[in-house]
Amino acid sequence: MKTILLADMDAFFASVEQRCNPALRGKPICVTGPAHRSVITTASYEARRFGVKTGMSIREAKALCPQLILVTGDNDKYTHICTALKEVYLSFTPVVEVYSIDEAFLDITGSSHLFGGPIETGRRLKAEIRRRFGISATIGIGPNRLLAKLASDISKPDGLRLIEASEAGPLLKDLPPEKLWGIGAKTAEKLKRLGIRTCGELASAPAGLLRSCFGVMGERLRALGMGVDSTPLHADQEDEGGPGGTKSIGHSTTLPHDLFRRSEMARWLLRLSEKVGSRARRHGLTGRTVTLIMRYRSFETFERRRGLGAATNDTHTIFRTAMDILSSTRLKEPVRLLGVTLCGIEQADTQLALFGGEDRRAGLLRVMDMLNMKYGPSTLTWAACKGESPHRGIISPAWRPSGAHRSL
Amino acid sequence: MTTVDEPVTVVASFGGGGRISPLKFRWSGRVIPVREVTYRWTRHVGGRRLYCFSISDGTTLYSLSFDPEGLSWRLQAVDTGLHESATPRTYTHASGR
Repeated sequence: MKTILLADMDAFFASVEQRCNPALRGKPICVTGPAHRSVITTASYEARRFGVKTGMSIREAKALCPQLILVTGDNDKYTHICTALKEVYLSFTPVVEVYSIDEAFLDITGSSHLFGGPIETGRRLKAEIRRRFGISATIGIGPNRLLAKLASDISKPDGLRLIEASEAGPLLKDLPPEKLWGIGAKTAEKLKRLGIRTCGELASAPAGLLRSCFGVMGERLRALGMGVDSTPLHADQEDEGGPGGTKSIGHSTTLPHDLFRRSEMARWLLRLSEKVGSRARRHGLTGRTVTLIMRYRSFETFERRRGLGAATNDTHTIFRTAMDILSSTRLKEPVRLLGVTLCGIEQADTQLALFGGEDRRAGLLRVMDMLNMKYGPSTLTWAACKGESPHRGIISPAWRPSGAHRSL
Repeated sequence: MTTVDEPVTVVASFGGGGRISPLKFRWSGRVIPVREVTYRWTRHVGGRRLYCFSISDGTTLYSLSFDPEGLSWRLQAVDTGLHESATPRTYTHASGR
């Protein structure tokens, strides 16, 4: 039986800012992006008491909590702490999967006895995080990732909970399925239509019924309802040179003002394509599909994707494809957010081109990337990207200390 | 926070394990004592690494950075709202380098 520990920082960005600035401690604060129209990235627990939640617009949040203090996020602080946290985790076990910027799974099966057992390991880890970084973490421990995550979710904030395998049945019996990690609102809605409203009912549902509704996922859903999850930790994936677990590389930005004209959006799409392309090139990766994400003024969000003839990490191919998608999309409203994602990730093919053109192009991109690595992002960029200074958006929660997610 | 981004003279201790602690600094003709280092982190600007400090003199919050390559200190930003927050406000971090 495995022992998996999840370390989940409580209101991470907000806690760091409160630690950094004594004037913010004990007050309702929210971390947002630098754009005046960005949404709430993290709310402190003081703000959550007023109903302020991640993803709300600033106006909505202020309506709930007029005394709310807005803090522009500082990515450097968060990435620095996430990287330093990994060093702390590694002092407890060598098997660590940094799942996101504020969550990490630790397999303590073989090491917890060195620290006095799973609970004592969790207690010591919490104390070390508080001592070194001045922030609180909730620790969930279980026989698998699913139950470790559940233990963490039900003990937030600043909690510590162990769920034994034998406890899973009674604990899950009356729990709504959407409370489980991996079951989203849409799946929960489908389950409700089948008359399944609790994990207990999910665990005892006929396998055939679930399979007919959810295909191969049916079996997995049933297992989740029982508290069974055999997903292994991807401890080594982060440091692999290849695609590892990277499924996509994407960037998005909330625009300074809503845009309706495609020509005005082009500049932003080129910037986003450059960020995606340079990140893929840095990690020696290419992608076969480009996805364009758009959010209307009404917050309706949708995406369109298009396959590429050959895998690429060339900024202009990504940009042209995104523009093609935009040109073929009938816009209903002005757009407030744009995003570009490269999917179908694979290792870049380093074979030399038969004719010279592509090599010259690759050489140009290589030189640009080298200069930008040495002197900072956008030191050398496309002329069309110049002009209105792009803000540095708030970091994605998917950021990790190493691998293709390690980028801003 | 208000962006300053000016060079400053700093007295600091460079302790064991590479721990840097600013003790006091001179800015606009005044010597400002460091009462507390509230946070420390690093920032990468291309290939350069800057050591950043959020510090307080008891009434004001300052953001300092140290460039080990150029052996220079800069005052990045200042926030005078350390002990007051009567009115809701917005904090924006300095990104000056």
